[in-house]
Amino acid sequence: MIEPSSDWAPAVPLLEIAHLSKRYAARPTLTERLVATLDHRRAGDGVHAVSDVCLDLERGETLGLVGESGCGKSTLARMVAGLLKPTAGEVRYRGQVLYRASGATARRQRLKVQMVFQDPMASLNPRMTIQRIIGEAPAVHGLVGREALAGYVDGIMVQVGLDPALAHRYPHQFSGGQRQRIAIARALAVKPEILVCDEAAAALDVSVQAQIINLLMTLRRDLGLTTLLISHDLGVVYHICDRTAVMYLGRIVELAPTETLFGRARHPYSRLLVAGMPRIGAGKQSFVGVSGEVPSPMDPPAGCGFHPRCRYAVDRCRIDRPVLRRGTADQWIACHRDDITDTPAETSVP
Amino acid sequence: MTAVGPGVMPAHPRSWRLIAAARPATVIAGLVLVAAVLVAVLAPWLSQQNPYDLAQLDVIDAHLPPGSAMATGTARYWLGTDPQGRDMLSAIFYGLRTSLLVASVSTTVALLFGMVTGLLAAFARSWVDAAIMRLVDLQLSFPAILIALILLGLLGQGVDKVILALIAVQWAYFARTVRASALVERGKDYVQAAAGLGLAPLRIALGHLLPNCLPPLLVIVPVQAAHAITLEATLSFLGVGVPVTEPSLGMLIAGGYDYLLSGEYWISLFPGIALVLVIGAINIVGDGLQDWFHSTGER
Repeated sequence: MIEPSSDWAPAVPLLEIAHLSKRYAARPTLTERLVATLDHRRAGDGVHAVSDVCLDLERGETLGLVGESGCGKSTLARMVAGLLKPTAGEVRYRGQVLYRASGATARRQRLKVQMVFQDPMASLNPRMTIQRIIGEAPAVHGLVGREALAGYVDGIMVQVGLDPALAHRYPHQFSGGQRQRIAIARALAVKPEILVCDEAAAALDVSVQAQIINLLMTLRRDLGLTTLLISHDLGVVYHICDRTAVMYLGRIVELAPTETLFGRARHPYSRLLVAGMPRIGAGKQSFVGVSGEVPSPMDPPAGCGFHPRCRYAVDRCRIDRPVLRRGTADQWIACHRDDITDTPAETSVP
Repeated sequence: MTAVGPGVMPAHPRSWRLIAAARPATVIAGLVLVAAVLVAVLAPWLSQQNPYDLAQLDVIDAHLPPGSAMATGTARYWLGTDPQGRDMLSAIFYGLRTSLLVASVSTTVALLFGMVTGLLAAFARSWVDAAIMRLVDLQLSFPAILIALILLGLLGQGVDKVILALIAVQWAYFARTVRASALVERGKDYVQAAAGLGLAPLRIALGHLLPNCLPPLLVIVPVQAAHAITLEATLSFLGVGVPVTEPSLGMLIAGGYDYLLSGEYWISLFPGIALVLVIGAINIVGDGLQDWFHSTGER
């Protein structure tokens, strides 16, 4: 359905996330600076929500992004969708930098990347009818003519499984699942190529979650959509993502084809994450906890961000931050230890 | 959700359900308000004389108590007459006209101006926001009546000047309210989504944000309108408001003040009652509106 334009060299990935970082500056108070000076260290220079993330999305691919709460998944999603200005780095679509210029042309260019938010009640304007929520942007950007708009909106509503007869209702008259369908319809209405789903199903009932996930999978197949799927539900990621990236403390620690990651994760953190995933038919499982707490992103540890909780940590991990490098084949990890062979279960802290 | 099937219109339009659900006090106040507006609009046809036309006044009829017959015997002065022989009922009708005109025009213009500046402050942030909001703070730190008095002292008398002074006093309330709700709303995902859809900032501000900032505004509009009437009455009572040729309710009250202790209570009392009725009605209707917005919640 979506043809690559002639000036697009296939060698360039559809979407490149290049060295994206987001730091929230928080000027330390006088007391904090004083304490820091007495401790012989520098006062924190803000929250490092996302640090130097590089990811490529190939056309038609579904990339999963997992990690615990506060690891920077949503911040990354919003930067990719252009809703948040990165402190450093850029997002490129077919080699062209997005979100940098302002003006009408730049606004039209950004339509290629659309986002589906977590809470559909907050992401839909409560004072607009469904018709307007879905139809406004395509009409403004001239994707559809005035007289064809109603039919266009009806078509998209059918595509996401909504009754077009309800087009003149308001968001509060719909159920949670229906609202998320409306949010998806709004994104699809501007004919995007890339969909960023930030926990798109997490706020819904479990049965409705499955429906939304199925809808996303159907749309991906029918429209050839490229998807960045952010979730903390490893089951969902396992079932629908081609590749999966694991994030910890604002950085990607492992990136691999989903099968590889869930089969033989190599980064100690991903190993624990995968080992903790509940499986049907696995019998009684003993869950492995990750000892310790997530370090504060205000004051990230030196070296590898995971070293305070990692049982494999060696001296080098405390000083030298590992970069994401290719391990075997398509598996990328950011870890100094490539000699770990034991199974995650043995790694449990007594 | 209402119990109607898809595509079926509700049996009653929303406005009817709104009235049916309102409290009796709100309904009565609403009726009083509608009556006051009707009287103000239709004053030239309802009054038996034009109180501003000196040719229609008869000095023989001066100082008559309520219910007295006209010297010509054609009609009665139901609410008495003032020292010029002016029919108080007609004067109240015309006074209501002036009071409501001043209040509605000044509140509407102040609302629009406050809305624009408030949205601008919420959107621009930085020094624009600081400049606008410090001006608002400065203004709200003085009593409204003081600012209006100073302005009228500089501008002089006249209905238009009173309206101008009231706008200057009122816009700050609206600006502050709009900015506060716009700051809350602009952080919500639907505004982010609108930006992600490549919509122009102006369209997002006016089409998406503003409608969601309106409920708190519509609650303070009646309060401010009532405030405007009171202010105008006070200014006119003090003699700096509307000119003598176009007396408002406040000026009528002031006119009767000198005769109050002579037993001619009616000159001040009846315009006073009219004023209290209108202000009370506006406030009660405003209260009802507030309840309605709160009960319908986040729409």
